Amino acid sequence: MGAYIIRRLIATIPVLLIVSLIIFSLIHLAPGDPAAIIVGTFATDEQYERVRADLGLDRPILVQLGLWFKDLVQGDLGTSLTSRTPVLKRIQSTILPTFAVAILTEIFAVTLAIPLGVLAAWKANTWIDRVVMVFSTIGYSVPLFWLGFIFIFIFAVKLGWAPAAGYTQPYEDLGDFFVKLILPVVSTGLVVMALIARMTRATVLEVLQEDYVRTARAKGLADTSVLLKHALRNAILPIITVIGVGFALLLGGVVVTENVFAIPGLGRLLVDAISRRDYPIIQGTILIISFIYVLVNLLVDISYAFLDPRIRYK
Amino acid sequence: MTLETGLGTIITVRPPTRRWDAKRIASRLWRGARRNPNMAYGIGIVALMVSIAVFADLLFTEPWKPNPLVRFTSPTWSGGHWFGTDNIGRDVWSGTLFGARISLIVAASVSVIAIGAGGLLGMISGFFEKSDMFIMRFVDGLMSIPSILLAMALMALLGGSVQNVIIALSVTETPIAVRIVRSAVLSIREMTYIEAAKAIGVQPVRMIFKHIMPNVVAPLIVQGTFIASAAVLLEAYLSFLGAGTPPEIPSWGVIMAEAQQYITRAIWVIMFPGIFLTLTVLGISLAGDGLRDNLDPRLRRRM
Repeated sequence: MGAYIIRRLIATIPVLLIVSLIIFSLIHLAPGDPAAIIVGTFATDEQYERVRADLGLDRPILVQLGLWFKDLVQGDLGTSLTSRTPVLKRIQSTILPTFAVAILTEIFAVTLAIPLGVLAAWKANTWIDRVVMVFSTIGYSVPLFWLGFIFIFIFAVKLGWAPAAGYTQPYEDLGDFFVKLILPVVSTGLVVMALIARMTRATVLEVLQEDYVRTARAKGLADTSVLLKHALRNAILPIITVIGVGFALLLGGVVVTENVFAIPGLGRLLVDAISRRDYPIIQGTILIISFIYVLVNLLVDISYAFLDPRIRYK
Repeated sequence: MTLETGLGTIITVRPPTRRWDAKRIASRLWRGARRNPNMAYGIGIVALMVSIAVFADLLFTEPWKPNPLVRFTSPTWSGGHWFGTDNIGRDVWSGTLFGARISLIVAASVSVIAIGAGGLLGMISGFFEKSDMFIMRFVDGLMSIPSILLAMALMALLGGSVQNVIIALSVTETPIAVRIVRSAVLSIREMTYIEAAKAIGVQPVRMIFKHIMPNVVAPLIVQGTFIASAAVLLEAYLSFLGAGTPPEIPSWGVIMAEAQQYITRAIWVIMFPGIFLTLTVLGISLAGDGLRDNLDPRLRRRM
């Protein structure tokens, strides 16, 4: 088990390196002079030189790459071009709302989607199945921010059931924190749920066609115990993969949701940085979110080994 | 392919599957659409969207320009503004129809570029082991960055334009196509007919185009439809986040992004483009699901 985890950890390192390399090279891939693009057309020569020096663009590219990795290892993501504060500080002060939305949404989506997906597979080709499928097909076609605004219009503006937008830190007022997150979590959750329910259904349906399920039925086992003891046990691994995939979708989705509901998280930070062309913040935010994504995938892989001893010995 | 040896034997080497010609694809689709009504609905919706995009000028639209006399008109049948007007009096019906053009152009371009580039890289990666490691590491890295974020970062440097949206989304969608093609190539590579082709000395380039590619086309077309539906959504997300289509061009994302400031006053401005966008994505995905089931039965899944 320990050896397996170590092997997986080591396998993650090259991925993290490549991700960092890609994010480093983004700025150099654009046509033209990145510093000129960032300061815009109306900048003075001094402003241009300052941005060039701040980003280290006046040095040879290999030196820049070396410094990027050296700083990264030391936890230094650079300094914001507009506010002159360290990028990591800005990220630390905005990461909590993002985590709150992401984790609550994942819990909401998973607890509803998995039972729905299993039910749809179990009752395949009945009206229950069709309702779940129609709902989930529409669910992943809807633009997330559009659903958010329609929810604000119906539940906040017309019915007044929940606040339209905003965010309160959990350590300030826990009740307010949850109340303000209802609409963001439900609107994002429904989209993520659509995907998870659909994939769960496909997985369980596949397992239900296996020979051992037929055998279990043939020997006279009750339908429910065939489902719970035989089918679900074997469907759990792919379902966990789906939860991981759902989390990836979520990290992109949260960026959108934060901008609908005015939640001061990483997504807001990123969008503000894009409008100001504050490239160190853009790079830092994307790097952190991608690292979180890679780590979630690592956790998914490790949980496989806990659940299925066969994987440990491969 | 024949080869005459000194003994007069003829060895025939041919792929086990038939080539995909247009007629065969069409007949498969027709049969599939009758058996699978969802796919027929999907193709119907896509056809409808394509026709409103092509004929938008004839469908009682007016130019996407401010008209201060008719600000915030609610949707009416009689008043000429079927979908109402926005905060500066632009006709939402016209904007929605013109928006279909932008979305479909983005969707079609991104999917063609991504399956073209992805197909080529995937085949190189699957076929030449030396390049495989290099290409796949890079693909893994690209896929570890959520696509909307990568696209935003690219847009921040490229600047807002429809062309740049297409470039940015092609970068984020290509890796998926590379993976699909590579895994298809890896399984095809082990087949006997490839071994036979190698044995009689078929050159790698010819091998790729004549023997491997025909068997990769079906999964690639299916993936192309899923990329197209993702591109429609991502264009809207980018525009909503202020990193996509520039504000003067009426794409669905742009109209909805502007409409968010006055949803309490004019919900219709955000509602109609959103419904059209959802229908388009739904149509493309339903068609894609149907294509997957019909073009390549091996890929058939109950999803």
